[in-house]
Amino acid sequence: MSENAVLPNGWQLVVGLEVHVELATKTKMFSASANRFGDEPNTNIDPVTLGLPGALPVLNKHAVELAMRIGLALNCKVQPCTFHRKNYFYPDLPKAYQITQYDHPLNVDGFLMLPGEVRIGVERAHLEEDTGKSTHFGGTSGRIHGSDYSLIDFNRAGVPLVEIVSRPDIRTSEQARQYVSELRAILLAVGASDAKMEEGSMRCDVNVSVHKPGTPFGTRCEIKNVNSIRSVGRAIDYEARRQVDLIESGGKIRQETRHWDDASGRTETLRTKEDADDYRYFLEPDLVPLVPEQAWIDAVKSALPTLPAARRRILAELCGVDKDGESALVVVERGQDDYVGEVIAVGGDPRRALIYVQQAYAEQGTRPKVPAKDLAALTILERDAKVTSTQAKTLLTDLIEAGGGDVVAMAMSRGFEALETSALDGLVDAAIAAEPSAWQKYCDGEEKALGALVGAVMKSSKGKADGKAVTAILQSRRSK
Amino acid sequence: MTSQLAGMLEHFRDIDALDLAETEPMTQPYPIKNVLRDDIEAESLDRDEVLGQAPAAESGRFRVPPTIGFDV
Amino acid sequence: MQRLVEIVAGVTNGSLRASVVIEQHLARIEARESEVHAFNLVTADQARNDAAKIDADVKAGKKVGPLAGVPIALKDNMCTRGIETTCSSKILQGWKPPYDATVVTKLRNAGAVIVGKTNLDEFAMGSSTENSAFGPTKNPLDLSRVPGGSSGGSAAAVSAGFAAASLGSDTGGSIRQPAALCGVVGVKPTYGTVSRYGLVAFASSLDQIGPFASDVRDAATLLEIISGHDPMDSTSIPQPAISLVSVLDHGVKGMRIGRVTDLPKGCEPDVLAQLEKAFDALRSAGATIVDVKLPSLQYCLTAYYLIAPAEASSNLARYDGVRYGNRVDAADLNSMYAATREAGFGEEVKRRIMLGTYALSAGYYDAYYGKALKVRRLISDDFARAYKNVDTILTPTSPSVAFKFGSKTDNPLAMYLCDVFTIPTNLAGHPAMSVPFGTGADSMPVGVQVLATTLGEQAMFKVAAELERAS
Repeated sequence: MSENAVLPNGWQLVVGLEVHVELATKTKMFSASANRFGDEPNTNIDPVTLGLPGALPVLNKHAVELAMRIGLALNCKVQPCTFHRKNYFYPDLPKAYQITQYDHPLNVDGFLMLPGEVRIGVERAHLEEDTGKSTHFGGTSGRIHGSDYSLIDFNRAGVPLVEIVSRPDIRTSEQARQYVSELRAILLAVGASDAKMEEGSMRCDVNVSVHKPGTPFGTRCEIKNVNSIRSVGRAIDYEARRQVDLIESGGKIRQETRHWDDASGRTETLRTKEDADDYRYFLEPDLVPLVPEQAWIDAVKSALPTLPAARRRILAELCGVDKDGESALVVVERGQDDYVGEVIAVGGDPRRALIYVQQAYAEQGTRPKVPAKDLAALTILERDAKVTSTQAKTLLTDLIEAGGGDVVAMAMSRGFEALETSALDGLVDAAIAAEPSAWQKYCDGEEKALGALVGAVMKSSKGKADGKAVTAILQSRRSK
Repeated sequence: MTSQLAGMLEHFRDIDALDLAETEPMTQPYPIKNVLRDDIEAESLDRDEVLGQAPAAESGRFRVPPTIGFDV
Repeated sequence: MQRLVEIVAGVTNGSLRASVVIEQHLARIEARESEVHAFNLVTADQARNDAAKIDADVKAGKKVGPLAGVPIALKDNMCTRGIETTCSSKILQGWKPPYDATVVTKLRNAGAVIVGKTNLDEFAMGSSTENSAFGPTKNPLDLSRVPGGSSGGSAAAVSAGFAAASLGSDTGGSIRQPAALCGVVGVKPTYGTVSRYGLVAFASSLDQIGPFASDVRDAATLLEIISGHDPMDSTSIPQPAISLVSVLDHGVKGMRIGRVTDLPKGCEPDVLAQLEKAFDALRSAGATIVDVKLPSLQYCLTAYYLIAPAEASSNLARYDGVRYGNRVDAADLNSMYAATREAGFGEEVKRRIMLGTYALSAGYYDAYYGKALKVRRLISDDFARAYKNVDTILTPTSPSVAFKFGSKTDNPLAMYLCDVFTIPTNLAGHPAMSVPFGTGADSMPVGVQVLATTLGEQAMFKVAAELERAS
């Protein structure tokens, strides 16, 4: 809730997110040309894609399957649904209408959990088709205003989309970022999309308003062109501030669509409500209702993989850490939680296994090269104080470089051995004698003096003393 | 034209006489549902053939005048 | 003039040459097309090539299809790959589709010889073909009169012997009414039995493709071939084609024929007289005539002229000059859209687009389009009740025989009334066909309409065949 401090005078932020996701199907939503990013312009086209006279749409079964996976992963109800036409003119919209879902969408009434048991409602996740892509030429910034002409590529037209609409339950920009991040992780986990914001396969529109608690929600503005998770946060922070400043200076928020400019860090007016199109929605007469059988819904649900939130919880329980903490988050994000589980299963120390993987496995991918038993052996060495933490770090690097190995042999060949505690006692005596003023200061309560004493022991032991053990001895001596 | 349209719309008000509160709208002549297609790729149309029919084309794409007053 | 079935039989057994057949038809076109103007495009060379190939196949002992050598004309709102398809509109003048409509593929696979693309009211909106951007088609039986519409060219092509059969499309009567006015058989099948893939859409929930032919047997033969489930059309009924030719000789003994007692007024007495004779003929053949009431009939025109333009306003939005068709250049996109559509669309098309846009607009949806969909349910229910007691229903097809050019163009509503008997079946999705039955005023042909319930084509064709025998 710390981001609430960004808004002064008790203003509360209200955010809803509309996320469009391109589905990972082979073909388009309503026709059989390829759904592929990066091909030469207008090479994945057919009569439906181009909106040619006489073309008719036929629904892609796999798109429905993926959409159901998304809905079920978001705890939605999957229901009988229909398709509508949303009519407006734009050159990248080949039929001059988009086929979408209006009053009966496929998935409704779900939710997504954020860290800290924050529940964000998902109003709906429905099917629709993507538009083509326009590129503007002749102006200065590649944006429309001031351009001389535009070129249209219809490869993307008709690509299957799911639009996921959250309820306005988000209260901080951090939550918004978490929502997008978690949603992305879910999409990847269920295989519905590659969800690459930089490629446009996942797009966010952000709705922002402000109000004082206890009063109705304020007028909201929709922000478009938010192309990264970081921008989600920045755009919200800017817009919230803009709205508060405007209201406090006596102005009124106009309900409008605004464009986020990442370079300048500002939102600008794009289109006001007065200019909004009347989309003249009506039931798509070229399609028939979609009524997924319960057997199909059940099959999709039971085939869902363990979702990221559940994986983090399981990993955290195994390792004794916070499920919303950094280590669980990072390791699950990398898909290395199964590996950690394997290390623990063959006897590895849970907390150490997690930490090693978190800290050293960034480049390892989902199938780390180091065999689980080798990493387990290392964790045990450190746990049993056979090597110091510093030594363990070095051995970890060795293991990764070698792709595995016998850690005991590796430790011996490096001449690593942690000193036994009794040997440490003698070294501590010597250090106290060598640093009497430091010892005095430490006994008087100056914690900083500890460093000099520990350093002396490390030096005399040539690094073989375990720093934590030395500290423990000094502490217990002091308290005597 | 507009006066003709106004006249037509006036004529069409005859349906206001009907009590349609309990009537379900009919959108489909024949009750079909669940028409689905397998996710199998088919060959694209030939770009040259298609762009050859376009009013204006450039670099393999359809060319249009600038869009003033639209959003991105 | 030869019948379709005779041509197929002759070409298949070698007693007739397809190239001779096509020359005969092209000769008739040569003789009269300049005065009738049934076609936007005659594909003479291609037709000759196709015919020659059929003959070669027959000679080589290869199997040929069930329409081998038959010259067929296609309404110019069906996509034919590489062949200009204009919908009789300036906005598509010169456009060559990169794909074939499903029905076109079926015709080609069956060995048909496509003789040309026929004239229509622009984008199928009209009842006289006077709304064509390329000039009207004249009724071959009386050049001062309309052939009907919107499939006027396809009806005239069969009536004048330019083609052995043709295909049209019917949204509110656009096959049946011109069939009646030109003295030929015209069939609108059950919605969903003939694929709409490649048919340029006017009103998606009402449009169907159907055949024109000189007689009922030819129409049945052609309809069997173009019908059947198509995976490219989501509204296509998942069933194979209904067998029709097999029932044509069954007669009507024991069948119950409905007479609508609350038929909308406005039907000319000469037409009503022929309808009475038709009832007499069926009674003599062993059918029972049963009175039926269809109380919602009087609201069908309104429902249709809200639903069809609404869907059309959306279907025709794609003609924006961006990807195909004729563009009027402008400095910015919005101006280009406006100028392109202003220049490219005729008055009737513009009128219906405006009407349809209004009917769908926010605040008016419930009052207009929403209500019209409910009226549609009412007529469907009326028919359902009627068909509990009858197998088919008989009505006039058109309220009058073919009318003079210009006699209805001043008042759109007067023109819309031409479809008062045909519209209800489109709203319900039912099949109906027009069969020539004698003549009326000025010796012009009168058509009688046989209606049946969903997928009731067999009953419909039995009655039609009987009427033809009696006429």
